[in-house]
Amino acid sequence: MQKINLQGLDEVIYTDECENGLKIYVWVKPTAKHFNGTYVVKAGSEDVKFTIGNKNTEVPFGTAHYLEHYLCSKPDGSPYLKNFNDLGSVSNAATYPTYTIFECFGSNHLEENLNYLLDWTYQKAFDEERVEKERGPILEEFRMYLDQHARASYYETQRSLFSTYPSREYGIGTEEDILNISMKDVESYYNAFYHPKNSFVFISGNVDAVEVIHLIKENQKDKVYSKWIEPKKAKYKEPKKVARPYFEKEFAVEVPRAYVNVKIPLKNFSIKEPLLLHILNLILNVNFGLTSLFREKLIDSKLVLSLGAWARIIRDYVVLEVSIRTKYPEEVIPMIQEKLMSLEYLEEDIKRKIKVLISNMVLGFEDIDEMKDVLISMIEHYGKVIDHNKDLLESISKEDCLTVLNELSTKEMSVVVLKPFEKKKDEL
Amino acid sequence: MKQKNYDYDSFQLYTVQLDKFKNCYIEVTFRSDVRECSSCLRNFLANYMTHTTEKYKTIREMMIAREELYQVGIQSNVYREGYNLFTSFCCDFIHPKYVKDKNYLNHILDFLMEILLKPNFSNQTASEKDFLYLKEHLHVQIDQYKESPYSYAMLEGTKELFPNSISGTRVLGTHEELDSINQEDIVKEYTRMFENSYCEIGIIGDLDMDKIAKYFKSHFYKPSIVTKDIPFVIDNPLQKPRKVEKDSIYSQTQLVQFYQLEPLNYFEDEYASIIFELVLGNADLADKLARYLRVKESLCYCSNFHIRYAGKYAAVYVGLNKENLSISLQMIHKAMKEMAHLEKEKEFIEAQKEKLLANIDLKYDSIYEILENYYFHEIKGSPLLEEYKENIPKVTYKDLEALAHKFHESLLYILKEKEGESCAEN
Repeated sequence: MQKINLQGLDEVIYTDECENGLKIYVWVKPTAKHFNGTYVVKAGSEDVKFTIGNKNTEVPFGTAHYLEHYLCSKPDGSPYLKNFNDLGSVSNAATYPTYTIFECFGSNHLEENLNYLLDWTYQKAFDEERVEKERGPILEEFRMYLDQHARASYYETQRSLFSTYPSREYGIGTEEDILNISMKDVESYYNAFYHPKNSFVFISGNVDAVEVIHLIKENQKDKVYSKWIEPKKAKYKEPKKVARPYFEKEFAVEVPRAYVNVKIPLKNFSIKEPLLLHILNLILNVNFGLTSLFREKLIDSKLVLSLGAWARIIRDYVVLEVSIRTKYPEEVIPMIQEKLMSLEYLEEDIKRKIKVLISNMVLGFEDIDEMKDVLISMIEHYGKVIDHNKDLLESISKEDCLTVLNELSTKEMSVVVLKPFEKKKDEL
Repeated sequence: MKQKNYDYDSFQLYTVQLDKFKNCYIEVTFRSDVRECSSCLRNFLANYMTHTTEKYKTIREMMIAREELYQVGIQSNVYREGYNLFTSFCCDFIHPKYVKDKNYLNHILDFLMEILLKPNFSNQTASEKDFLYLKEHLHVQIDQYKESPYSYAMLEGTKELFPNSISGTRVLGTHEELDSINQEDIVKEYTRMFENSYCEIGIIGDLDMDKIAKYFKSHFYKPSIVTKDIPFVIDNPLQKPRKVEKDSIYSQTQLVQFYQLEPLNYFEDEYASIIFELVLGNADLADKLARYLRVKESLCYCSNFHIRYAGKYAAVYVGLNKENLSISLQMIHKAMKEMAHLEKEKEFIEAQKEKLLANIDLKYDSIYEILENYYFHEIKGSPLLEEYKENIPKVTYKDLEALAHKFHESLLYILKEKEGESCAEN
């Protein structure tokens, strides 16, 4: 067992590994009354093309999500979640673009909860009837998402930015995909990715790390897995150019929402992740955040109702996004684009915001459930816990910011606008 | 955990001292009778007070001040329970021990006083620029529920169910109400809020509460004492079942089956009804509704059930394909009918009780939940978390069966999906 001290945050994470390769992370939070257990499989909705040995496999979009649904039912068709419910615990499963999680929350029966969690995805048999049974609920889930502007803006933005990346497609699949997903697809996806060497388990709360690690190892020791052959996930050669510079569509929104995005190759930057992301977000915050003069000007002139900006990394690209709610997208979008082309370094603001970020980081660890999501995403993305995030923030210098600003090219921009349906627009 | 109250006649302090969290939290609540004021106007005022003050005139100035105080969280909430209209000003800040500034706590309290006692008024009127900005924002906020089919169905259904009751109105009000508000009304409402409301201040964290109480006593001012009893339940009369169907712009059909409730006793309201919710429609995929609608018939992805005793009603919600309306409705009625015969579900009910106890443990991990629980215990007599833990195990299946007889089927509200969106029948 290894101990990872999160520097300057008074938080400790213990880590170990089972003989079968399953990695264990335990974040001990002595003040908590409850615990959470999350089993993470490092494959998600974007992993639709993969090669094992010489065999290439392609499954429809939505397969990872379909499998997640299937795994939530027991052979008799009853929900697996009921096992946790009977212990007085809450459970859930979710599919993300690059990973899938199975989780439970509780305050009693730690051992039973852990065993249910670790057995959840183990040695599943597939049958047509149960696969078929999930199709109806998944189609309804798909239809529920059709009216969510956050999802619509995410996917339309991905389609505008990228020509090849699988993030362009609905993670749940299209209606046609869902209707076409077969038991064979679901099974082949399971066989390819559901292996302890491609998974980790993250436990948080008021638990004894030694006990938890022992329980997990005990659970895993008799489990039999086939030899792990790591599937090669498809790689995409994404051109530098955005796929479509402008796109608009009518949607169930009351006021237009616009998303201005910049696409920059990650390799352009000499400063690497995660420091790069901290700096980019600081720069965007200073230029578009609540204390920026630019935002104040837009608000005072009644041009926007809200404005937000952030940076993220998607495969080989950095994406800067500014989102706005405005009744006047035609006027505001060029102003946003111009501002993105002339981002400023404002020393006083940067220093103040670093102070705020540190305070937020310290307080963030008070929200156990939210922070465990952050830590899981960090482990999945970087393959480890970053233990010096606070130091990284404190180390940000003027030179770092200016270097990033110099390397930041705003040549490739895309715009997505969601507009109210015609009838709605007349009412504005 | 140590609770202590301070009574300063026109305002009360409810404090919880504990050393579990790295942050501290203060919530100043003005509680009024919604029949004597406009919630729309009150919401406008609360937004105005956290948007601009005498010292910090613009959002930018306000944000810079907040960031200098290590991003102190400031927000206002206006909400309703029964005839009680709550206007709260929340202040969330890092514990002073993590900050180098030795006067940090005083600076936080001064900042809160600036918001509460020094609104940006001049010549008995609110600033025009901020007034107009907020008015536009609030107009947009009023319509925001239309962006979610679920919210739209629930709100429009409730409006349809209670056309003449406060339960059928929204705290945000209507466009007409908002349009009728002028700058002078904001100032008048500020005075009215201080004069006609209970003022209850909740404070939680590892702080010297005597010292903070002393600060409030010397710096906070509220002119009058309020003693009026304001009911927490609106006695909406029972109605005959009826059906309302509307067209929509959404992709999925929304079904809301409303029920109205007979009066509940304290035990039913505070304990049994929560277990009832879990058993019928709030227990992941194990509850009765999910068992029939999703697991057995594959009709939907999402269903739930909630009791709103403050308006004496409850609602089952399902998002579904319009072709499946009739069978879904049969399943809902079947599930509800079975709630009066639960002997076979004894084991499941025990599991729900245990789950609820675990949920109560979860509340101990939230500074906000602990304070909220203590606050409602003090003003309304709701059980403390410890009392929940003591009494939840006492709920029996017979209590739930008795409760089931107090539900009466009422409005069925259906929001139909737009034409051409229907998937194949499942």
